[in-house]
Amino acid sequence: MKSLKERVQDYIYTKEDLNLFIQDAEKISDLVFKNPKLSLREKIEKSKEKISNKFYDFFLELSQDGYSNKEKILKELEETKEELLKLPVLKIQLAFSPSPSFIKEISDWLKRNLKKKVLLDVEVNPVIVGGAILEYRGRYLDLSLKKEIEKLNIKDFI
Amino acid sequence: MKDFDYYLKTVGEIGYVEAFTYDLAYVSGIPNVKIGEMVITENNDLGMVIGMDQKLAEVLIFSYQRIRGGERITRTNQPFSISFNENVLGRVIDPLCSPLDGLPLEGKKISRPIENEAPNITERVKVNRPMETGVMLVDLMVPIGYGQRELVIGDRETGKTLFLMQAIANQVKKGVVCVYAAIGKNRLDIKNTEQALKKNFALENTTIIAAPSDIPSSIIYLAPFTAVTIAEYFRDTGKDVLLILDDLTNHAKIYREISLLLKRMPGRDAYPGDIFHIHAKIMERTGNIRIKNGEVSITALPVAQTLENNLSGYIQTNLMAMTDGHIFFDINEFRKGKFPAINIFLSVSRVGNQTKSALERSIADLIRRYLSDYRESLEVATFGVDLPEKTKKIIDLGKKIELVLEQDPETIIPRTMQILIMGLLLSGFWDKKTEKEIKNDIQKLLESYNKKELLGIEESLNTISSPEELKAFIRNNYQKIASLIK
Repeated sequence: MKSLKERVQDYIYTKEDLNLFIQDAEKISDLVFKNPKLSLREKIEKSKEKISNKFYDFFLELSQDGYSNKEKILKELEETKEELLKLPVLKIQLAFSPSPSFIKEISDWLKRNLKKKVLLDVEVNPVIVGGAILEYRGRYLDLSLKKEIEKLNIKDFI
Repeated sequence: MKDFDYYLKTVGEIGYVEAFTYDLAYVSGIPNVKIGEMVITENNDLGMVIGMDQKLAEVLIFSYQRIRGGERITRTNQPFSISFNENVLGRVIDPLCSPLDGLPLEGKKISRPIENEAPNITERVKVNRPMETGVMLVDLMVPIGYGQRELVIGDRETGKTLFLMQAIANQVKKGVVCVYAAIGKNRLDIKNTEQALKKNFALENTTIIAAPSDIPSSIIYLAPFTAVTIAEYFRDTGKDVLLILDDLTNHAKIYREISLLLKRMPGRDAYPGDIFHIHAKIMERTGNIRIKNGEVSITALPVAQTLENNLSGYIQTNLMAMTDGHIFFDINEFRKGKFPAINIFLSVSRVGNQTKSALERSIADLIRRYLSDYRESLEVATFGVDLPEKTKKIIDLGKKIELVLEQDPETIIPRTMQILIMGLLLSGFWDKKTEKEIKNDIQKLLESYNKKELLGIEESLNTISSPEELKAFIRNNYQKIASLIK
């Protein structure tokens, strides 16, 4: 069986997803000690509106996986959070707002080619016209259409 | 200077301000950044990397505005440099070379790194040319040579800056370029310095680097580096340069502030361990060096402030150790009304004497001996006993020497006049005259000199090699000199 750390990676592609997960994980940690008469699943179901749609199913699934020991759940969540925060981030500027499937596609491509999980930090910047600007661990790569247009000598052309 | 976008595209590295304290930014990213490298923020403010750990680079930001968290920063792949040209002469600029009058520097600017290698041993030449300050007490008793590093030390308000203004005024007349760095001074003092130089027509060949105490400490820290870099530029064009760093105790305090903010280990008096290295690195860049057609120099006069004549302070002793002597402005002499308030017995010039003629050296020895005897005799005189005739004479001569060596800040006494005045004193020309008469005579002699009425005497004085010859010369020209001061 996949560990919590491994399973959650299938849900998290961007820095935004990570922040959402951390928020939800904190809410789950609070729920663990509330109302001891109810099971964790029941508590999650009762607090549905407080948990994001993206991770609701994930946490429901988690409550069925024999995590009856409260300390074990908290420890797993904390370790997962720490592990996720260590993931490298690729900042990517795009001229359009990418769909979730597009983000998943990029993320999968990176995982396949780099052999490691990389989080995306997507910024929409229409000024770049097309292409992308990438920032990874302090390195900066301008692959935008704007840069290519700037290289063209439009004056001579007209 | 190119902008942020240019460097971001060419170097291809980016960083973000993760944390900051005043002018210090802790920057993530920029993986290949080096110590001393110039970085640029998205607002086109410059910074210099002064330290780093595994994740963050410590960057000193040189900006009059506060830096913001999350601000983007990129590398420039070059050491921190300043851009200026020869038009900085006659201007008051800040340590980033921006003129304070708001007008631009005309002409094409060149860029020079602020940290440059000092000339090596084979390039250096012995200090062998006298650098006249126009202050008789200094030129005779604590002489300075071109390329020398002489510390000017003393309590505040003892006349250090006034002496330096005299030195600049005299050197500008001789075509020497002067670079004056006002480090951590108040704005009024800097303005007064500018006015004083203007009044003496000395500003046109001088650059004032103004780092008033109210600007960010990072920019004040830069001031001596900017000053020495500009001095090197003019030296490399074949001109002798007089570099004044007023003062390095303020600079040390500024560097201490920065180091403590950086959480570096404090050492003696909480100064960082590398304060000696920082100052010595600046001092070593000055000196007398060989060029194709002779030699060229940067003479450094760093200034250090003391508290109640305490010469044993950490920074003060450091600076004494890295200079070729010091001129000590004694607060006690100043309180007695002496000007310049220099204590010749506690002042030293290690290489200046080798630039002087045998005559000047002999005169200095005589004066030192007479003054020493005078002080001893004065102690005896305090007992109120009836003094022998010999002691009375010693005291009388000592008083006259002190009187002759007094000089107001407006007066500049050239070398030949210094010798003539000393000759007159030692030959007994003023034995029967009162203090007021002696002062008047000196004033008249200086007026005659300025009117070029002493040309013949000047030429003859240059051929004299001993005090005895000088005395004989005065005796032979007694009537001529007497007629000039009538």
